[in-house]
Amino acid sequence: MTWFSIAVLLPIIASAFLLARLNGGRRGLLTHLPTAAGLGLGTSSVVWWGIMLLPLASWRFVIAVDVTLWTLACGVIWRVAPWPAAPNEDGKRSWLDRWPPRVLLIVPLAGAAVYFVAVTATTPHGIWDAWAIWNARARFLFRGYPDVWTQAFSPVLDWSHPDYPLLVPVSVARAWTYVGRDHLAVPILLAATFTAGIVSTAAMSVARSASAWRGVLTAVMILASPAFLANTVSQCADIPLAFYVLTTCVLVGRATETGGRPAWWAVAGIAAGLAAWTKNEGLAFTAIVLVICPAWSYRSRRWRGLAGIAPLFAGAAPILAALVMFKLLLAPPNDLIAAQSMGHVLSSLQNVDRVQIAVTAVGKELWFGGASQIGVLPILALFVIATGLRRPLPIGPMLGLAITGALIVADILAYILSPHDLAWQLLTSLDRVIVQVFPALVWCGMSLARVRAGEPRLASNTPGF
Amino acid sequence: MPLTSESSSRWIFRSARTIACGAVLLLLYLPASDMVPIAQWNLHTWGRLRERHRDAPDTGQDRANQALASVLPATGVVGFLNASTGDATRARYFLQYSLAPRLLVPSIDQEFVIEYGVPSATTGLSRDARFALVKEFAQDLRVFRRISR
Repeated sequence: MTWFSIAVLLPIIASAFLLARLNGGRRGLLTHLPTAAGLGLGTSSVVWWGIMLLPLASWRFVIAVDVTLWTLACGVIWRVAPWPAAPNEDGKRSWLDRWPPRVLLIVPLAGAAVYFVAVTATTPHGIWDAWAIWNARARFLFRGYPDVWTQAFSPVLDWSHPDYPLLVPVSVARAWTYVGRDHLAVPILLAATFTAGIVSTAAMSVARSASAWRGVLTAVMILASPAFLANTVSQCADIPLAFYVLTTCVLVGRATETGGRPAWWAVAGIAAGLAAWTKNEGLAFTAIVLVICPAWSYRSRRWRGLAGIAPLFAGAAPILAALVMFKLLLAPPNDLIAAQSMGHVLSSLQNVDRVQIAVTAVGKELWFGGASQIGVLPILALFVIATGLRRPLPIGPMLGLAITGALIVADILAYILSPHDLAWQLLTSLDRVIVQVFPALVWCGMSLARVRAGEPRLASNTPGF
Repeated sequence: MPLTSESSSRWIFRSARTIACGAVLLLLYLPASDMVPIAQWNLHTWGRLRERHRDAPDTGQDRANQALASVLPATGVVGFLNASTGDATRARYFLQYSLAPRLLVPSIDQEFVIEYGVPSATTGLSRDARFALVKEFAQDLRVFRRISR
């Protein structure tokens, strides 16, 4: 590892500049950093994948192209000022300026950190799926370039799902290339980065739209979920996907605010595209976003609304193009889809037992979320019922609820149609599938809860979402 | 008088907010507490590993598996044979993880074959005249090379 390895962070810096610029001005770089880290890692994995396909034949050339592109991106985004900075206001701009929220965060953050370190120390390679699928693929990409990296998608490895999208393995392989070896710390840091991104993005957004206290409660709620915490250390793609699901909802929320800038739609499109680039479930999520948002837009402003939402598609398009290229050029067929036939689909849908088992299991997982007595979501529901709903209902969280709800329905449908043993499929994947939407559900709930008149609000030009 | 009323309502509001926050946090302790035993167990395991100056089990296994790379070709397909009577799925998948970018297939049709497990009196490549032992790495891992078809 050399000092040059630090260049691996250039996409994160570029994303932080971008988010700060979207807020107008250059303020809040640190505030945006956790969200920017997730977005930067995601976009850099798409770019890296594109560079890997070029006939460069050496890591040196790949790194040279990567560094040049991201240095240029940083420079351009830093220089270009699409909007004037928001005027200064007297109100508090940092949601952690007040000491009680800070104190309240210490215990859950410390607890989560201890859990993360302790479990990672005993299972540094992650859970079975992490080393067998995601980290193994990253090793193929890193160790096999330029000659045999495509072996990662060989049908011989059908048990490791070679059709899964590439965000996690390419991100790990990219960092290994900069570091110079396949260091165990890279996938661990990646998992920690996305976890921090989720907690920070959700908390910051709620703090900005409601109050600092609500932001802190949001963070505590996410960290109190056993299923969420258990997945943070797994090193699988579920936490990154949860990050992109949440970030898309949050950015869509920002874009739908009064006077929302079209660029927020573009970044929301990038986040939605990155969800598809992370996992196959993310593809369903992206499709849902690209249907629900335009439908809402058309309903509210007809054709002008649809034109206004075009940046959403523009943001997602390059990433979806990379995904299509991967699926067409390298990925073998997906096992769930390859095993389907019209007869199987119809018989599965008519199988009431199967439908009942899948719906009940999803309901239970939503209720418990890995806990033995009560999960976080019922507590969140109690909180929202106790406080009441905000009036008028904010559009962003409502769209978020519609999107996550549709994704849960799509997941139930996937379970019903699965060619595998349903009990085994539910046992081995349901907690992860629900974790993918969990942070977004918490964000929706906390953003919809009514804010009392006396609660200290942050200034409206607060950096963040 | 209005000032007193305002400050008293503010106090009531703050108290109500504190109680509500406290109640929610108490409730949130219920799901969070389920993670405490897992954290404790992992801390205990980590402590024991450090006491004995040992790596995590997977790290040790990965290192042992990667030692096989010294006698295997850098790329290509390598065979895998489970000579034990038990299930070797995890061992095979973990070997694949360690030995990437080589491809590991459950077959003995390749030039190099990794034999896993302790063979019984009648099984195992050491009794197969078509193979010669290249190196034995541990009690349960051996690399063989095909010497004739």
